Amino acid sequence: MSKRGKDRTQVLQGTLDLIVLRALATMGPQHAYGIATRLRQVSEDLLDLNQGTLYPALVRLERQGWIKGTWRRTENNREAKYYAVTAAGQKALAQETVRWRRLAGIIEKLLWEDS
Amino acid sequence: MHHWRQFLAKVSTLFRRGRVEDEIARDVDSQLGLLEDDLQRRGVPADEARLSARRAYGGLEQAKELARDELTFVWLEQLLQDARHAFRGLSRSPAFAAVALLSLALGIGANTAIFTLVNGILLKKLPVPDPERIVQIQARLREFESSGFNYPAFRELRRQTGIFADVIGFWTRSAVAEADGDSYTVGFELVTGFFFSFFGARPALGRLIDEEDDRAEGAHPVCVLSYRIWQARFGAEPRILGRTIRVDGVPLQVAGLRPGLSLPEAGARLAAASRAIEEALPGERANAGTVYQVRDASKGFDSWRSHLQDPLLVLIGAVILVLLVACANLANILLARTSSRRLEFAIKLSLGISRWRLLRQPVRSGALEARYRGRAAQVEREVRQIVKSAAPAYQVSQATTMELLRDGLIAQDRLLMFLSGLFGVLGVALALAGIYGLISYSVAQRTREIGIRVSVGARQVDVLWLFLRESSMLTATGVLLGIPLALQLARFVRSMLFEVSTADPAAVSLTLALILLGSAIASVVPACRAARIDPVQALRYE
Repeated sequence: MSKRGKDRTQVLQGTLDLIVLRALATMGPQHAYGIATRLRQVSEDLLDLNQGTLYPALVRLERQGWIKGTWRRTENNREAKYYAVTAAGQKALAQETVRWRRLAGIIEKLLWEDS
Repeated sequence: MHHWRQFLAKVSTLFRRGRVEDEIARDVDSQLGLLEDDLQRRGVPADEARLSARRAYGGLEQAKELARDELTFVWLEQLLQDARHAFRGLSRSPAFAAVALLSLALGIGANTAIFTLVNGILLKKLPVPDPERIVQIQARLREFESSGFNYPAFRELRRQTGIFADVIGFWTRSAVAEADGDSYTVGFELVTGFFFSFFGARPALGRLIDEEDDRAEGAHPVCVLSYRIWQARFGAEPRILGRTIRVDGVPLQVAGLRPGLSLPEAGARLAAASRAIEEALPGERANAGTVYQVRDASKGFDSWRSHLQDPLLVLIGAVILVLLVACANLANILLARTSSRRLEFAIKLSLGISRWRLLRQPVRSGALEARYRGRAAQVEREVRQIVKSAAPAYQVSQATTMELLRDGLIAQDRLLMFLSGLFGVLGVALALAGIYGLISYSVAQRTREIGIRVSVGARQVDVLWLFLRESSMLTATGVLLGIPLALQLARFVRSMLFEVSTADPAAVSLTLALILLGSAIASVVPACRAARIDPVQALRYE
């Protein structure tokens, strides 16, 4: 993998964490499939986020202590892990949101200047 | 870095693979299930839904792999981070690293050494099949107990079939061996025929003494050499078999057995047979009223253990305390180091002192031992020559001076004394280094405060007292707690003291004085440093 490619994934990864955190913070405890469905709806199908992408992000967030998963039963009596944002996760979400807004602002500005 | 990760990942998966795999499988199964449910709700047939769910999931194996990486590296990354951090810190301050490592090395080393002894003598069982089936026979006559039996008694014990699988006897002594016109003292054991097969021993060369040698008394005058003697005295000569060695052999007595019954059962039946055994003995050998008993011998003989048990327990107690002090000390130094860089210099000093003491003592005792041995050999040679010319009919089995005899008798107690002394010194040295570290830490923390005190008129001597007071309070608290505790613990070593009380006033006050003096010295250095602090700089500190 080229260096550029690697950098891009990293940025995407950071964004993915932010998206998941945000979704969970608004929706309350939710399982992986629920999050995927919700994100597709919100992005009006533009964000192609299948569970294969989502799952590693959930594992990562959980081990960072930003979300916490507990096993429960769904209404169809199937067992599923429901993730909820922790206190540390709330704090991280606030910080990451600020950081993202700043970054997006800079990029926006740069794009305007260049054109 | 990359290789390290790979290596550690492999190690970690050894421990975590099962758990991680289970976790991932459960997660993915449930996610696929939810997807499948949703597909079925939208009208996809059940058998197709499973497959479609896997397809819709998107990169199932890749997702698993990524999750696996995340989970496996959790503690690994933390570990690497800690290790890197620690290594950087240590290489920045080699003096601190040396003290820390030395404390731990001494604490752990002493513990390992003493535990090896404890394990070998007190805990480990004999290297024979079914060691728990071996017992030691003992005779009891009123208040007297003995594990030594005469040969007729051994024969009678052996005749008591149904109690023991077999009975073996052995007797250890020293004797004069003569071969190739050379004579010397050897340790040797008289054993009964079953002895070697009982312990499952096999010959390195030729055969061992066996049942056949027991058939008729005196019919098979054979001996088995130890491997060591064979090499030392016979140059590992392969044609040693059939050679004659003269050993001054005299009596034979008993012990060491193997029961087919439980210990109490065997004991009861042997006790019941006591009268029959005594009655069968020739008149001059019999002691009417003797009761025969059995004792557990799976860890070897009782006498070995009872002899060494107390000293070993004392030693293991001492080394555990030393290890605890080393740990507490390390914690102290770590604490002190975070705020004081000047500590390095001082730690070197305290290290210098303790290293000195540690090195000096063993060297001195080693030299003494060599001198004793030389003298012993000299004395023995001279005595032999005198006896040979004056009374050629006599043989000298061992010649020694009273002094050497005494030294031999108390060698074990001396070693114990030396070791406990060493551990004591070690503990005190570590504790003093700890006090030093703590006061240094306190000085560094309160630099600003000292600056303020000096600028409003405190004299150097006031600052000095401030810290000396603090350290004396600490030491006094330690002494007040420690002395009653020490007196309580000392009761356990009472049996090892001779003409010294466990609360010997001289010993207690000397120890006390040394500790107080030591802690005063340990705290004077940082206190002086505090007194010399320049108030202007101190106020700028932080």
